[in-house]
Amino acid sequence: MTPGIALHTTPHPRRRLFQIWHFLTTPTIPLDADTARRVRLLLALLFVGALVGAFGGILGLLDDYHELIYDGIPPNLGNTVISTGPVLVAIFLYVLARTGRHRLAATLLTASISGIIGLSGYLSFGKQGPYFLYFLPLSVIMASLLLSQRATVYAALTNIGLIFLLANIVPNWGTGYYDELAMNLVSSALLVVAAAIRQRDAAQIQAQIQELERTHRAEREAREKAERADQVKTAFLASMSHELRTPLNTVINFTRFVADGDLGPVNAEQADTLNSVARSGRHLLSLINDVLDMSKIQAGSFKLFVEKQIDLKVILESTLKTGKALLDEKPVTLAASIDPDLPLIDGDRQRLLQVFLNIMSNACKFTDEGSIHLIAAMAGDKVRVSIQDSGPGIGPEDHALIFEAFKQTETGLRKGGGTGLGMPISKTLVEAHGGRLMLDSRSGGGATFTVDLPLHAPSPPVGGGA
Amino acid sequence: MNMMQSILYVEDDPNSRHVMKLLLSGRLKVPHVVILEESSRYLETLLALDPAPEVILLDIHVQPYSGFQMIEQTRRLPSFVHTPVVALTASVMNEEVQQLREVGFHSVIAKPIDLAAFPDQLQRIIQGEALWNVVE
Repeated sequence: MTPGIALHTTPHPRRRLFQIWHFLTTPTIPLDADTARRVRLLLALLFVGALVGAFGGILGLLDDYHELIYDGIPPNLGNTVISTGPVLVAIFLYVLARTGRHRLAATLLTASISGIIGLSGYLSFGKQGPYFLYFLPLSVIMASLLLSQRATVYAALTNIGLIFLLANIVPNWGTGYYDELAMNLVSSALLVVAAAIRQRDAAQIQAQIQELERTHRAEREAREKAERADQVKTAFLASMSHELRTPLNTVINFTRFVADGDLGPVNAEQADTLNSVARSGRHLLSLINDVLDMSKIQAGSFKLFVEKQIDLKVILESTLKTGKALLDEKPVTLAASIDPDLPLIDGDRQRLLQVFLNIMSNACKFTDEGSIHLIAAMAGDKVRVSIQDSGPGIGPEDHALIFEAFKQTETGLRKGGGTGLGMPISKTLVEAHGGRLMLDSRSGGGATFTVDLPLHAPSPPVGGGA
Repeated sequence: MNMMQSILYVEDDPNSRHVMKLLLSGRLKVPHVVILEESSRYLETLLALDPAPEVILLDIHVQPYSGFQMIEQTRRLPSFVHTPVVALTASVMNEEVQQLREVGFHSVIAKPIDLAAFPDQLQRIIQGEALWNVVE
């Protein structure tokens, strides 16, 4: 063990004392806050009481032996015995209180205070006057602090009964006890009221705590339920995706093998037909992808996987490559002006590629002649990527439609295909990156889709449902 | 393009195995193509292959060892530290791809595979390029 660790494991002496005190006065069983407070007080009183009693006993013992040594008087040990009794009682009650019988211990303590005061009153009243009656409220205080409102009433009644009893059995009582009786009545009444208030407050606080706990529990359960539902939904979507893609692998690729003649000669018509099957399979695949993406977004379970320092240029190159393949033999020129100093950004590669592929494939689909131009450069503090095409363009009345789920324009429907989900998904993806997707177009004048992306994407998840 | 010599593929779906056999043995004429339909003898097969595979293709939902267990087994073998292990899977939701990345797959290729692009993808992977684009 290193000295550094040793330093940490040995607490400061004052802290150590506090720990011991804390240990001695902490209830050993779980209790509600109010009862715990009362048991702690009881344990503290009994512990301090036993200490003070023991100290008194030692002083008495010293006194006894002092007489023996200096005056030769044999010790009667009276003081020692007198203080040993209460010490033993205190220890006994402490043990009771610590072993879970705190109500019994508090009741015995209260009763013994009444009893001792009553007894000493009976034994000494004649000689020392009624002063002991002033101590009687002590038992009521104990009952009020350590027990209940009801116990306080009982303690008060016991004391009053005791006063009457003593008045009748003590020989030299006389008649002057009304002041003490009145004092006891008043102080008892006050303590009963105090106990009642404390008990009501404690009950209210307890009720409030329970209410809070109930609310908290209900909230937590609701949240857990929502999370579970979310997990089930995500798992369902994942397994849907898997289950649909596996047979599509067979459908598309077996068809291709047959169409391409890998399994024997096919005539031109057969090959054409089979290629249509394969293309439809591919199309079905992209529909599945879009529908699953949209479900995730609407379920609120959609998350970006943002990476630091991704190179947009790589993503755009990949987009251009796909664009070239899509244009195939069409008389359309595909040009790109990508700023070679384009900074690296934070983002989800897959999702950004998805956005640009979607815009690019739309441009390729709708542009039959002319050009498509991809431009990427900084614009202020954002990276701006635009894809301009010389296609039929989109009338202003359709601009909002483009970004709405499951909606397509007339032209879109004529061109056959698509779910109408590509653009809404792309818009969500760009916005999840903290960016914007904008459309600039008019009917007959081509279309420009512009994506503005901040250099640093926010990482929290987005989604329609959240 | 260098001719590929040896490929190991583990796949439980018979049709996917058939597609890959047509592609790798039929079209690409890879001389050593070993395709396992379950993974109980994966390690033995891998170690016995001569020549050693240049690339290993693993489906993820395989019995008794999943793709995740197989990649762990492979990564413990010093002689296969540099062999690219590719997840060939239909599970390509974002989280799943992320998980594949975390357990040490070199690349991922999504099912359905693209017959036209696949040979080039394999070639790039063998040359060291990591492919993680599952978006169509």
